Amino acid sequence: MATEALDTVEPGSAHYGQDILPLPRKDRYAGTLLMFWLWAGGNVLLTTFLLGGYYASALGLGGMIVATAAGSLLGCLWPALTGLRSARYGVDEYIGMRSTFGTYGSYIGVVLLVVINFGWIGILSQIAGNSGISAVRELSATASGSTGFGANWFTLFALICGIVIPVIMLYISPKTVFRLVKWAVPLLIVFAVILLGKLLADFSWGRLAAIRPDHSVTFAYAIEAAVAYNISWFPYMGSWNRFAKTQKAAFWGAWGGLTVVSILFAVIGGMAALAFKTADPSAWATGAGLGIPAIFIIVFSTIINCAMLFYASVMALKVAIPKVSYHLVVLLVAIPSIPFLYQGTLSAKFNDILTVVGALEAPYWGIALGDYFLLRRERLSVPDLYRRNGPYWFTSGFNLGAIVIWVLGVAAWLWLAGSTTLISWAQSFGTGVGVYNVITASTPVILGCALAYHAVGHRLGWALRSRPAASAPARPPGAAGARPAAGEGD
Amino acid sequence: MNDSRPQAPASQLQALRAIPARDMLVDPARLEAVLEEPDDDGRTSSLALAGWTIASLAAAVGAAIWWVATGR
Repeated sequence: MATEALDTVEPGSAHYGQDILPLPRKDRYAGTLLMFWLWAGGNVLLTTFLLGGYYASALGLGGMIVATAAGSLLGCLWPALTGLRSARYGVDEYIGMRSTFGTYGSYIGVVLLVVINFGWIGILSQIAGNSGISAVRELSATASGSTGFGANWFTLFALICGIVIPVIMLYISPKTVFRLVKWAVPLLIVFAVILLGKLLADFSWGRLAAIRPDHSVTFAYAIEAAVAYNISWFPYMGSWNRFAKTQKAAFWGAWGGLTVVSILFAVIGGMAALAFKTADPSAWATGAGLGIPAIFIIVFSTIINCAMLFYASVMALKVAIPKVSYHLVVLLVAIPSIPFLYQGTLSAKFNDILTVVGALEAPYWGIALGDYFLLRRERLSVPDLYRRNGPYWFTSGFNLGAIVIWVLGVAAWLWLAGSTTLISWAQSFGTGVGVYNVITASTPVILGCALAYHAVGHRLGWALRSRPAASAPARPPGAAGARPAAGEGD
Repeated sequence: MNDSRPQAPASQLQALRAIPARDMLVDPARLEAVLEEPDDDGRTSSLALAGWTIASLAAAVGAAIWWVATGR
């Protein structure tokens, strides 16, 4: 067991990146530029086009650009900050999260991640399927346009790009994602600039700017959409940032990569929505005669993103169930996403996911920010992350103080933004729309939860903690081969 | 452990060796093999992080003021 253990953390090992133990600094190989390409690739995402199109008609060209820039800058900052914990200690997101929510409380985040991933991967794969049909129809007018379950072009594109290729890549190694983003993402950004140039050539800046805002949603709604969209990266930061050589590489790579691409792609999507009256990139890109670059973006962005999302799910499940085989989890975690490929309309699911992200993730990771930066001042005891009955054990593995603040944070988010969702009970709960239109929802909830946890939550969790019946003797120095608690060893 | 203020260990290795083996959720030998002190050299300072946070918040507030001021 020890021999297998020691080689799992070396970059040359076939098992690299498949283990939940800390990654030593010498084995973290991603510098600032590689982290930039990775996170830029994360936001080279078809739904990022949808983001700008979501509020472009309401705000007009100028308002759409300003809201996208401000919302992206802020929305990408929060995940970049939370990712620093994993970059500093080389641990997965949900190992690090044990210091905040308790050893088992961190599994709340695991559940959030895995469930939301099913929806995200379903949406991404669905767009890849629709775009694949558009591409095939450019080549052959008689090709079937069916999007139902069965043997058709939709299934082929959606399954291959969204599920099969990412699973194969991760099955080989998570390093394959770094290898792909290094050359694919710069090319994808060039193609996006070509799309922008083509749009401006066909629809001049003057024509787009002349379109009057219809005020169907408020400016605060647009800022909130950009923030909520980008904080959806919260659950994934730690899984990938632990590969960063330094904390600076992790922070600037993540913030820079996510922000630059969020602004570029959302603005292109917003302009296209103004020009073509649809936010669906598969419709307007092929309609503008940009089939080949658009298909390239669609295929590679889907592969990169689904691989990034799958890997975070796999590692999260490994944290919860350390004994399970990495390769088995890679295979199993993909299956529940498949039914989402065939469910509902794209825009309805997009709103639902933004709602879930904002309501559940904003307070959860806001508390994590408060715990790591305000309370612990970036100092953790790594061995205590891998034990029971320690300072991160709290009440039977749950920090009840953090959970109370989280529940209050979810309620605050729903009160502020519930009326903007498509969920009926949330709409009736969301009576704080007047406040929402001034301060939005996710950012104040993140900040409020961070401060409330620092002021009250941690003290409450500590006061309610369970105390071990008797302290057992510590291991003597050098007795490192002692066996772990039954059933929990990796 | 009687103080609610979080305490960071002076040494990660010493912290590991102070933990009873029966409490460990992973093999202590494996953890010890990869355990190291955090690196402060490649760190972005807390002041810089706070500064960027305030600047980003200010940018969002500025955007909202611009939206209202231009009467769109």
